[in-house]
Amino acid sequence: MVLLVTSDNVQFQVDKEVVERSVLIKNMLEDVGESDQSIPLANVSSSVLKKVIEYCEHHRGEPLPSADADQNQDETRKRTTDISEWDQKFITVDQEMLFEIILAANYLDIKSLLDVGCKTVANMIKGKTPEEIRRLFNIVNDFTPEEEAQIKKENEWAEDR
Amino acid sequence: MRALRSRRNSLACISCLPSEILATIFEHVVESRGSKGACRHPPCLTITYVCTHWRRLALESPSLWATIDQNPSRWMDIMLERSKKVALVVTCNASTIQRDCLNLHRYYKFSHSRSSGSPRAKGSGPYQVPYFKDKHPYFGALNFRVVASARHVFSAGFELYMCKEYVIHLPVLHRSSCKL
Repeated sequence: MVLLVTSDNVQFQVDKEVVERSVLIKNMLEDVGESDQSIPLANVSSSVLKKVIEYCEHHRGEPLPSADADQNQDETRKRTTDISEWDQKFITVDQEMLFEIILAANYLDIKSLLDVGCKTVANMIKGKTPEEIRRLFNIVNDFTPEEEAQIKKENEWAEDR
Repeated sequence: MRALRSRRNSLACISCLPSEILATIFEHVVESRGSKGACRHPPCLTITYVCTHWRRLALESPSLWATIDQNPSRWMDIMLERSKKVALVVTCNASTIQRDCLNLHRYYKFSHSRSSGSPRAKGSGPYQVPYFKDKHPYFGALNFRVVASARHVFSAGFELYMCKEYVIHLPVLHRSSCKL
């Protein structure tokens, strides 16, 4: 078992096999060797780590992407925004948690979880107008007059084609 | 006022994501082929119309602009310019084939569909496929869909006999494998 300590000082005892889905933690454990020392995760809160562990538990035993396979997998990932049914249900959380999970997956280097998070946000954006996207993410139009003019020009120019 | 709006945007939940992750998300938006929904623009353009940060980030990511659907082709010049020197994935029809030739050296993947209603499909003799003649350093795949009744002779020297509604999918046609 490995002891993880979150940013809000909560401790989690996790199976080594589960926690090693994080490349960051796997490398740390390899560097430290057999040790009872806890691993501090200063960038991850307990609520987020709980979700991350749930994901790693579910995907326990699945092959980790190798460095060689990265490029091919990148190509495959790009071609589809399909997410498995379990992953979809898992990632159905509020926006704040979704982005926290993405940040944690990036920090802990869990490629498949990062992928699920990014694809989920991409699916939220797909097919929407700029105004709908702004509403969805609570963003406002902050274009400079120059940018506004450029956008207008782009559209006029394209309409003429 | 604009500064205040930008400041407000920086406090939005999604702004906690670093630029490289946001750029990855944009790539997923662009690469996935789905319904265009309510938006009339290609997805990469839609992204640039959201806010200053998204626009600047998208304009700095040439790969976002490399998937070009030339049907219709009105956004093509913008996309060719913004994709800079990135290898292109292009879908087009027979009427835009001549324009394609200008950037053939950048093609990674080319999907071409030709229908019996297109001007060049009506008995105009052997159909020249010019992109085989040139150098294609990025070329990795060819999807060629023909909906016509004709005998087509490729200029590169191999022939395909096609009947109506016949669809050819050559998922990975490498230059070496067909002696181009």
